[in-house]
Amino acid sequence: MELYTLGVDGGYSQADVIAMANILTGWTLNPGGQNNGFAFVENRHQPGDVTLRGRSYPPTLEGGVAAIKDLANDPATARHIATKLATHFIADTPPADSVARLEKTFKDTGGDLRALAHTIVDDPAAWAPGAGKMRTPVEYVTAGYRMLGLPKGDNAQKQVRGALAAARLMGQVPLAPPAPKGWPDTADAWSGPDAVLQRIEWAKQVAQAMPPTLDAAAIGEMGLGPLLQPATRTIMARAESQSDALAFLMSSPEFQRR
Amino acid sequence: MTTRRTILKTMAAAGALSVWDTPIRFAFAGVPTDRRFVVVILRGALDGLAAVPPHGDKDYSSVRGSLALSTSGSGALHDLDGFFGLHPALTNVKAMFDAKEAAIFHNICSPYRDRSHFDGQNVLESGGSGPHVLNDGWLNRALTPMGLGDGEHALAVAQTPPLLLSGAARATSWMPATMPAPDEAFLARMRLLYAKDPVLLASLNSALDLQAQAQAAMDDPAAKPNMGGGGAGYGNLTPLFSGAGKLLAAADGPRVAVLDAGGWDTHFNEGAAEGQLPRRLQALDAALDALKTALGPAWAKTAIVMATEFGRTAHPNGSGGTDHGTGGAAFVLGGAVNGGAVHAEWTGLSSGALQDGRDQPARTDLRALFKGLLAEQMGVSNAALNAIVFPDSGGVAPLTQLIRA
Repeated sequence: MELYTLGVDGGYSQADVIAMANILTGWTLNPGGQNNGFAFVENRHQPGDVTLRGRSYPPTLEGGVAAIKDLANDPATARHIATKLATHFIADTPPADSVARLEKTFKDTGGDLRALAHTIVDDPAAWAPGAGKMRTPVEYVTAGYRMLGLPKGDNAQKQVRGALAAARLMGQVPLAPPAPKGWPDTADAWSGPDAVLQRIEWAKQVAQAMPPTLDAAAIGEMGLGPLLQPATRTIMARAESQSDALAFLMSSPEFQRR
Repeated sequence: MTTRRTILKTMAAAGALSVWDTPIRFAFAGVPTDRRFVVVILRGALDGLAAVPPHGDKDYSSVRGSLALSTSGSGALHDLDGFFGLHPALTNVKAMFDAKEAAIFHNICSPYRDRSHFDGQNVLESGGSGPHVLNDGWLNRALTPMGLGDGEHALAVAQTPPLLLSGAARATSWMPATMPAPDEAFLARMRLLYAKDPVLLASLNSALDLQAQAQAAMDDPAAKPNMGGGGAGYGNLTPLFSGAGKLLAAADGPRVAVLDAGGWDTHFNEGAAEGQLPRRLQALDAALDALKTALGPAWAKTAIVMATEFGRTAHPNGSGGTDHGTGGAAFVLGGAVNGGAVHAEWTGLSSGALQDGRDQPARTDLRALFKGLLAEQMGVSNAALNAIVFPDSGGVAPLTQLIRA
């Protein structure tokens, strides 16, 4: 309820948490079995009707599904998911209009994620240049590799391992978030002193691995185009070497954001 | 138009991306010579008047102003010949000079006369008469005339060989497993890059403050007696130079090596006896000593040349640094070197003597120094020097008496 539906302020009590836990008793795994490995084991289910947020549900599988559907269709869930999507795709503090539009779509479509994705794509706020979502470490190393055409060649596997190690140093172990909540989705989680320095050092190391014939300015035009800031262009043009210029490009505020 | 595709093709063609390689295997069977030749590229334009101060010049103090070094007291320069000196941070180079294992050249520059680091380094490394005239490096072209064109006799201490060693002849590259940390000048630029980004700037400053505290603790002789200043932390060059020395020392090891040392582009707060440039010089000086130590007996057979893409302005600028100039200093070091002297066609520092009233002039072509070293140390013929290694340099006579007979 806190993380996936209503949100922490979505209107539930500790009694509701216990009720939900009772509703989910007997829900278990049957790996390789029918129903994609899901099983409801009736004799492990808490007996008796359960009251969740003022509504009563029978002690059956159908009762549990009904409880989850009610949570999913709750207005608090619409607001929570809309806020999460807008925060992820638009800005750490998204415009209220953007959240409201997503909330309406969620309610109108019964939480159709495809429709929600369309709503984001149609939102001008999502297209505003320099909106400034800090790239997560995984996004950052991935963006860097994409810009440079990596991984490539005989060393592709080593390059992939290098990127994973770099993301780990920057604070993110891919596919292993620290809690069920998932990864943080705002800049402050990824921009601590050590993390910022790790990004700079990684950018310099990768830049040094590029051939001496590299043209950092051309890579910048290709990778960031109009988003490349005049100050970054100037610092790149005055860099001691092409490799340093590429390191500045990859460390620039605009390249660290998406 | 440059497209993503053409850039990627260029990268693939250059055979890049060896960073992820584990240390390379060396297979130097039957090395044809026991002489060693090392080139150190000082990227960013070293201030020659800071490294090799002409303290005997009547205009030295007035021209250098706040960057002038004193000849006595704490922070005094090392005198070499009563006219030229060495920066106080270059104590190991001074010892080499005293042992006649270091020769110094002043008012020297490549044929490049503009102010772009990229183009200046392109000329320095390609050996062409201008930027992008040649597509490979003069040291690579010299390998075959040296008799080192077959096999892996040339080593770049870099993730990928720099232009200087790029070309048709085979060269290999090596880097220590732990990459060197960025140098101070690079990080100063990073602060500029983040000037309008309060989040990134605050984090960077905080990280660097912590680093400085850790460095100060390590530099404290009481805390760590054997560490020495400039030997650790940001901008440390010693692992690279020491590693290269060990590889070069091996009987079947490489005979030619290229080392890269950046961090010389001192537009801001350069520092006179202490500060950013002195710390960088100290790191270089410590690294050169480590290279000598690692070479062991092979030091006697070694010649090292250190050069930069151009010099810097003679006068300090308004931000306590110096800007891109023309003539500067170059160094030749090693047990094989005929050292103990500063060579310069010195014309003075008065505004009439300075090029455009601002730069040290270029009275000696760096190619003359490189050609002389290749001839005397590595036996490259004059014909090969003029036809292959430095085309269009027929009018640039090799310097002589660089190597001990």
